[in-house]
Amino acid sequence: MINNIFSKHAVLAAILVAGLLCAFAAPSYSKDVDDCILCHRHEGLRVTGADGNVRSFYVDYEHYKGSIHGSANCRRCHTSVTEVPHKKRYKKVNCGVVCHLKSIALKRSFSHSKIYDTFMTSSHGATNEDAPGCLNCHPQNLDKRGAKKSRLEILVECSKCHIDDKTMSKYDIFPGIVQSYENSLHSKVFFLENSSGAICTDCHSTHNILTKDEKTSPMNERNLYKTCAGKEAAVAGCHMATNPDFVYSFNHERVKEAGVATAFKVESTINFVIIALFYFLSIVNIIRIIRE
Amino acid sequence: MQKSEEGLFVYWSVNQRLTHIVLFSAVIISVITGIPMKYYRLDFGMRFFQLFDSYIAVRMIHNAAGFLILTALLYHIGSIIYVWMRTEQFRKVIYMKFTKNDIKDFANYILFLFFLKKKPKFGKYSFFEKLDYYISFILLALLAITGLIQAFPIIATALISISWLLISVKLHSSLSVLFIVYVLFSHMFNTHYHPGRLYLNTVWLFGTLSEDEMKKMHYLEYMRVLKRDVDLREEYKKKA
Repeated sequence: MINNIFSKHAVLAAILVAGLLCAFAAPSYSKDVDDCILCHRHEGLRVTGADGNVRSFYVDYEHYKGSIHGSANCRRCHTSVTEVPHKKRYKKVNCGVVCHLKSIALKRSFSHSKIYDTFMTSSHGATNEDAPGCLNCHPQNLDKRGAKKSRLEILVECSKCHIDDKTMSKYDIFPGIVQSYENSLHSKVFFLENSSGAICTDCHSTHNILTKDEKTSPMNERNLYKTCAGKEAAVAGCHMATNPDFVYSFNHERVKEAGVATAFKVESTINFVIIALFYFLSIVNIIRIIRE
Repeated sequence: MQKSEEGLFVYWSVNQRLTHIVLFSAVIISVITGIPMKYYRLDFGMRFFQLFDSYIAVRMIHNAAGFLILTALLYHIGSIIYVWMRTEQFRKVIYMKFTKNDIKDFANYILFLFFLKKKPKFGKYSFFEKLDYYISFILLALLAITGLIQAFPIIATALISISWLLISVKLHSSLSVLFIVYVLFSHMFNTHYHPGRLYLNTVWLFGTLSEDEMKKMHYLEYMRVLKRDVDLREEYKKKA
């Protein structure tokens, strides 16, 4: 009996101690094994590039430790950095490298390589100076764990590059794409109905963004109905039970088409009539007041 | 049009007054809810939606008001057809019909504004009122149709082309502003704050006009009613 009670207490105490240890245990943050922070902790660590832009190489180590990648050492990603002092130019970080973490489900080292490979075959994966990399859309990789971008942030992120018509026209991308979205009902519903209106990634997908001419693109004419309305829609499937014609109602390039051009002409004509009518009736009414 | 025992002239029937009240109430609601929807990016638009908790609630009220406008318009057309078919007198005297006199009145009124002629005298409805009626009716009908297309876009695109859906969105938005400007600067001026009246017109509520008002604003109709009354009295005397 006494032994029984003692053993029960012992088990409870062991659980309590284990719980406390877990609660106060330090998370497995990375250690600065290569002493990178020794230099990169200085806020003034900046370099002026050939283009005149100043780049900061300062790292807020405390912030980094708390981030989603906080448990990885610097050289896990910055693989091409091999000596100190550094060479003048290094390769960009490749997010497809095999990570330090082991996936419990797959029982192998975790990697972004699958997404990375998809991304590299997409339109954004092109090797030109303006093409975005992972960090353009995911600067939050250094944000706190669990931080997720809001739909508005995604919209803003895409607009940052696509609003630049000059750069976009270099790659045969329709200029005024952001403006055409702003004029659309998708945008109106987004701003008015609790961000439920479609944003860029809802229709164009995320990592495998392709031009509409590509057969696998969700924007390809063959896949458009599936994207907008189908149950097995690749991305959105918002317009359930719609008729096939309806899915063509929104298109960034529709501004060029006759029907839409007419709509804009009609609108500007009526706006002109409104202003003219306002002045005309005001003047006529003043004359009538004087005369009557 | 008749003269009552109290000496008031019955200008609008109960049916006309009710239709008008329903129509302008629905128009006011749809304007109040529609303007924040049009200018949703402005601060006041967002603040308005917060009053109702959500945009969806405002849109529902706007749609309901729109359906009420459409119902009132259809009821008005229906009642005209009904009266047309039932009453021979109505077919003879259509007050809202544009006539040559209206063109004359219009020309004379312009000359009056330039001190060249005396002010023309009007019947039951002046050319101003006829213009207000037809323009408001056409604009409201267009707003109701384009609103209906937007309320049921999937059904609409099965019947009309996609371009018309986009055109209807732009039309609805712009015509609504045109309608507001027209009503405020033309209809409201002609009916309520016209200097010839110097009071708010209460026909929409009570349906009657005093003898002075009739003489001032609708002299020809006033004379016609008096003449008809005299004729009727003489006819009655003869029969007696």
